[in-house]
Amino acid sequence: MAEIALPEAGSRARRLFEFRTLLFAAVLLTTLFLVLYPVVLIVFYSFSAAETGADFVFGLDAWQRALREPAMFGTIINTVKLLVAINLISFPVAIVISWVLARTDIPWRGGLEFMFWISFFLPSLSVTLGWIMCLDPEYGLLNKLVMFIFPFIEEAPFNIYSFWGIVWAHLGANAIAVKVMLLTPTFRNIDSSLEEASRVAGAGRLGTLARIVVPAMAPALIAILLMAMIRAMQSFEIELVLGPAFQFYVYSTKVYTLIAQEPPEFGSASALATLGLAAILPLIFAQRWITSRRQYATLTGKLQTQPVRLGPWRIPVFLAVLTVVLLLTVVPLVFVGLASTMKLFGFFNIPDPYTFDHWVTVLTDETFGQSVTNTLGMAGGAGILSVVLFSLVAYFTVRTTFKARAVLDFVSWLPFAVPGILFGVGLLFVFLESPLFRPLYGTMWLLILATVISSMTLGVQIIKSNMMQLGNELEEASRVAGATWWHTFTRVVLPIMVPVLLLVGIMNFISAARDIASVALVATAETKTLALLQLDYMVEGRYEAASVASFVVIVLSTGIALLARALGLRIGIRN
Amino acid sequence: MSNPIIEIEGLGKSFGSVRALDGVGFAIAKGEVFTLLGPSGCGKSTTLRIVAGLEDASEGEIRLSGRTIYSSTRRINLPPEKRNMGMVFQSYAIWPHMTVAENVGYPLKLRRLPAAEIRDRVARALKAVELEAQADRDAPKLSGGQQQRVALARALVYEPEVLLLDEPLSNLDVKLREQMRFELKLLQERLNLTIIYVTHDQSEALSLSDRIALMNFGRIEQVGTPFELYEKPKTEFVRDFLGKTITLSGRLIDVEGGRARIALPGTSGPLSCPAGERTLPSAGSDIVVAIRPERVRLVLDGQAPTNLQGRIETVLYQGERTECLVRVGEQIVTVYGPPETAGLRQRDVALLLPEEAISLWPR
Repeated sequence: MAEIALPEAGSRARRLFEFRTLLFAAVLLTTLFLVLYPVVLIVFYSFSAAETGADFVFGLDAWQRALREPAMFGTIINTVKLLVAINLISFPVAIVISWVLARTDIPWRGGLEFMFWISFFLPSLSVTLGWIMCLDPEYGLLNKLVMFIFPFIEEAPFNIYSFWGIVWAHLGANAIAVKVMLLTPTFRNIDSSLEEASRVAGAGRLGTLARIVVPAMAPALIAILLMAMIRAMQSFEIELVLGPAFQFYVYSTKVYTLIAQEPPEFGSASALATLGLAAILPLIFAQRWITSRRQYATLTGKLQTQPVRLGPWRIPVFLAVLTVVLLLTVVPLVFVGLASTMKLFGFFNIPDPYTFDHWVTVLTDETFGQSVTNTLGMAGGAGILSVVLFSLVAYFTVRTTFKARAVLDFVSWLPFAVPGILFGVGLLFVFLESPLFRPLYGTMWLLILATVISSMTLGVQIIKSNMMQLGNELEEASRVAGATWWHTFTRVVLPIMVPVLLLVGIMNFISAARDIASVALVATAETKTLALLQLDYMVEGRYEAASVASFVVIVLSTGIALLARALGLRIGIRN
Repeated sequence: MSNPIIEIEGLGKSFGSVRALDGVGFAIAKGEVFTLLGPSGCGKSTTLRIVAGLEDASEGEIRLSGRTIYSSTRRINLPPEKRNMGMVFQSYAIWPHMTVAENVGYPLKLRRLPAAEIRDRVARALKAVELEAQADRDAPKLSGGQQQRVALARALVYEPEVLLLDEPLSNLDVKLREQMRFELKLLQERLNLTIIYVTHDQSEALSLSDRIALMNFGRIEQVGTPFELYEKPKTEFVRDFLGKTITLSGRLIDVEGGRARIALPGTSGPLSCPAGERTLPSAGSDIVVAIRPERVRLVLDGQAPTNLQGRIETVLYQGERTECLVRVGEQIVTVYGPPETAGLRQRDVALLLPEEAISLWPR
């Protein structure tokens, strides 16, 4: 026995100091530090009764405030109310639109899908800006138009600064587009013979949709709905721009305000943040539970995709979908464009209403130049760093047998559930409270880390699913041929993955460039990005200037997505 | 045909300039199993789906029990739910959110039958496919063979006039497939079902059908009983698609008194056989001699009369028989041999090609 045991013990010890093991440990610790540590700190500081900067003293003051004051706990209620309202509208709309796009013979389908894709990439803030131009109670163009046509209406009929205004902005920004992007491939994957069997059995088109398609897809639909709700818990910028005007706060904007104010209230902010996390938890568990027991409509590999014929409904349905997608894309863009070239938006009757002054003012502004540099540096850094980190995380979770890879997997998934603004809070704690990291505060690094964290889940998932398709044998062949692990990873795995890594890099560049929630708290005056500059302009009411900044952000995000798409990369959500 | 259930005339379908279907027509009698056979992309599934109403044709007419359900000229096109046909899909299309009984009961519910009768008929249908015990199970949890039977029960439960089967056995493993063939045949005979059956599997078609329409490039090449198609193929495509065929190229020496003499390159004497009904090219032209391999006898001892000499190159042992690679003159053919030929190499043999089994084809 001893003879057998000895070499085994030796090999285990050797394995411990193998390069691969050390690298795994490094990746694991980095991810834990970036993702888990900030979250732990948030919870930790919610129990602190001490002043900021002073030593930790246990106390429940923050929690008492968070649970008792309506201005605090009420924000959670507001969040839930918004969430319900947005999804009650957007989910049925998205189901019908995706089914139409995926399963019927609607004309110009490719074009419609492309426009939803564009809508998915338009920054929420820019879309909101466009709708403010339309629906502002004082100078909103639509309000003016209605009052012009119907002179008997004396008050502006629409007000974007209202609960339903916020709901509308969400629908216009992302709520519908994201679900359409997620649902369309799901509907496309359904075995069309399920529908056909129902038709042959005696049911009509609508009966089949209601009795077969939707129930058969229910698990997938609910999983997507829960996912959308988890994401909606994280919404921030729309509420920040529209809410304060009528004293409406959701918990993310409240957390932000508590920290951004002078003096900041870290304790209350972290207690509220913890409450928000707790509110998301049941959604996360439900989502994981449903996806883990997925057992749905795609039973066989061979799929028939016979589109459903709409018959006489073809053109009306097409026009309806076209209207929706135009409202999501062209309308806000036109108003942002218009606003950036008008002396005073909405005042067409002043002499010479059009001007390029705003462009000149903004483009020659030093802050603007600085923020462009910041944005490019941050997004570029985030793109590169995320590719390196995510490919290692994905590799270790997919391809190795380390026990701790389950931890890695879980941690890489956490940023999906934790709102960016909360990570911002956590990172602030990490970098302000510890002398070791404090020098990094106020540098671009903090912003890069924040955006890398926020895009971690999706990025790792994409690389993971591609690595799983790769199969073990390519790697094993390389090992058998005599290559070391590192050699195999860098010469075989990575080169094959180049298109995917490029895709992830570009996606993270885009999401970093337009990110607001994750960077709002960690940016300083010197590290302000374009998106934050736009936010500042909007909060100050300088909508014309905001439009100019918005255009540059759109070019940086949507423009690059278009470019990558033209180069053949499939950017977006996919299964 | 005296009283056809289904009549199809001049069915055509174009995708742009491609003719997916061209002039497809046939009629089916009650209780008949009619098979559309052919390679993938030949239009057999499209034909079936047009009959079901799941796809549109560009031209043609379909009548069900004398009633027109599709006509391009009269602009009639009944939707699938109004045609009262039963269909089993290749994927079975079992609705995953329902139990077995709910799946089978769905068509009856749509027909607004009273609950008691639905229960009754579902039970009977499940009994017919021997799935009574599984009635309350979740449908996706069944095995492939069981799902196949659920699909069958669901298609039969409302007693449709015609049952459409689209490659129903192709997703089963080999053993189950052979067993289901028998069960399907028994069920069809017991209930006197009228079936249109689509398959690319020739042995399925030969064993189950009363008649077969062999399709290729959107056209019907030949319609007939399995025996007619196998033994009397009218086209080269039919000959080569069904079963195996040995072909030898040669030159027609002459045709005299209904008999043809063919010179095969590299062999000693000419091969003589009946000229057959097919019009042959003029004497001196190239010609193809075709015969089914199972009709060829391999003679080792030189006792029986033979009409062709050959030499065994190598032999593959297959258990109940062997496959011998035999050189005949300058050509090589595969011939079945008895088990004792196993291991033979480079050995001269004689072949007996029964005259009535030989067919001659212009080259």
